[in-house]
Amino acid sequence: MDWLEITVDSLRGSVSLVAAAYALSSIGLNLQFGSAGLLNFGHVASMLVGAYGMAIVVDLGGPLLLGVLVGVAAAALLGWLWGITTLRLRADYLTVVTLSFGEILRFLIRSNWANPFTKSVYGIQRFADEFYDWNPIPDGDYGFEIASNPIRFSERQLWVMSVCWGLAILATLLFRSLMRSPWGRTVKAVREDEDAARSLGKNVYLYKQQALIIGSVIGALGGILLGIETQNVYPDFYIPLVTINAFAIVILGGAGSVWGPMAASIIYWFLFEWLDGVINSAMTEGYFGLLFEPADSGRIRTVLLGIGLVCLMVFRPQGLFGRRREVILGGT
Amino acid sequence: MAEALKSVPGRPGVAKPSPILVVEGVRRAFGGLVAVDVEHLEIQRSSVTALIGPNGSGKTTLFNLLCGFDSVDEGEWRIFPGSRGGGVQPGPEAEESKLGEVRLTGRQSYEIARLGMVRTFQLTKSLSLLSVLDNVLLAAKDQVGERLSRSLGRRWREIDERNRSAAMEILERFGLAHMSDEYAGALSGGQRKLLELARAVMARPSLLLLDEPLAGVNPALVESILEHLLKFPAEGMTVLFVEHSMDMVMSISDWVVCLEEGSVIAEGPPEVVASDPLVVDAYLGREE
Repeated sequence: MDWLEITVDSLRGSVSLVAAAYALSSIGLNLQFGSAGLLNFGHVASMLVGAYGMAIVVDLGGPLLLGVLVGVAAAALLGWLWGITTLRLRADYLTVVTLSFGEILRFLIRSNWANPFTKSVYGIQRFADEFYDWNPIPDGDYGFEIASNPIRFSERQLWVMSVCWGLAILATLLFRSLMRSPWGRTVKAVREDEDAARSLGKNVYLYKQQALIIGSVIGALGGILLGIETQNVYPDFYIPLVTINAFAIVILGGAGSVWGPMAASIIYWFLFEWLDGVINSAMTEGYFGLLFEPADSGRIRTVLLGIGLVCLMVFRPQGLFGRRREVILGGT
Repeated sequence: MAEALKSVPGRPGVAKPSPILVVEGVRRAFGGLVAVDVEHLEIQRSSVTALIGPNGSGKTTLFNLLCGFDSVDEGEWRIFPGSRGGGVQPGPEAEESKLGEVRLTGRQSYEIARLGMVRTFQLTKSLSLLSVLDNVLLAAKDQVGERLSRSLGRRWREIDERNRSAAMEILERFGLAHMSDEYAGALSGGQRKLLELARAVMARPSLLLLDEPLAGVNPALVESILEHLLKFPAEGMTVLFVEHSMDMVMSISDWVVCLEEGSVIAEGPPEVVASDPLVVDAYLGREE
């Protein structure tokens, strides 16, 4: 087993577009869940409407930028819809409604009925050429080698990665400014105790609604960039597991922390790739014998990541950037 | 103005010389059980009024109704914030307060709080993961930075700075200044009661509704909380509070209202209510 090769490959994965898009998307979830305490289990729907909004507009002949705007507007609308359907009810309902909303949307775009727009199960391809036309980076291979193991990206990959990491940094700075303002203070108060916030004259419903919409828009940007990278959107990518991954990142980073989602996304995708590499080479080298087949490697990886998350909860419940005192004092 | 109560006869529903709150025909039933049925009740401005009654007599439900945390079946209530009301600078709702009377019926809880009627809770609601200082800052009125559209601007910083010093003064007064950077969740039960009071004062209400401010507080702290309560009227905050212990009520209140099964069965000066046979029957008698 070539440990160095696996590690270098994983390093490459940890800064790749997938990591960047998840970082961006998780910042939105962090605002909803970490700051406002809204347990949104349908975060993937924000990514879905963002990516599909863009793809459909381009597919119908519109310019890409308009598509992005439509995707973002659709995500804002989605956040608003979540709000009006659930925020006046008890918090648990939000979880159930958002989870089902996501699945309903996925099945809707998958249906024959939506075929003229969404191309149902086949999805929409090649809608982001325009994005690559804007690429200012000259053609070539960029990167370096670690002991003759390359970390290299093409000018296309580098372009979409830069845009996505750039947006993630901007979103993080926005998150930080918001949470340091009196608006952020009120959002946290709403998370801690709605009735107390109400008794002090805060319109709790409005704050939760705003957090949902902003979170959804940031989430959609992550979805849009994932779509741009693959030039392919198809319904069965947007399964609840995507939300779970985003939650894992938010919790690993520390719910409510500023830089947590970005750092955690890098670490999460590093571990993801690393485990993948180790399991796969263990398979080919026959360490597992007849116990597992190569097709099981993905499952083993998921199990190990799950165990890792459980250990995180036990030994470092505040995540990487959270404050341990907050976990101890939470719920008192 | 509490002096003016001396000439008011003690009987249920009696009119007061300068009421800040007038409640009329407020009724709330849970299924067949009538929890609150108050025909007429006035709360005198700048007084300390106690709301007593046996368990389940509807005290907290009445608070919830008045503050918009529960909705009434029928009835209406009005607040008269008045010019002396807690030094409240007329906010966005000024138009209405100029008329001297604001109908609160059917309003959302947060609107009622903004109109100057702020409540505390029987089970203290400290915002655990906010600092003690942030808890108090939260209550400040008219914060532009609380609006999403203004939260990224700079203008709120100035206002926040002013609020910060006001909040520190209030914390000083309630003996919590040394804890200002601590998480509220780290405070003891008694300190949380004080924090809740501090927060309510920061909101500069004209009428403060305290739901059992002394419950579960040690005797030394009871003294300190009572002292604070007694000072509120002079600062323009009328106090209406729920309390079980008759002794406390006697020593600090100007007026006592007794509820039983949701209705006002007696009201008057403390010594009069304490000796009212109906009250003794309903409440004091049962305790022995």
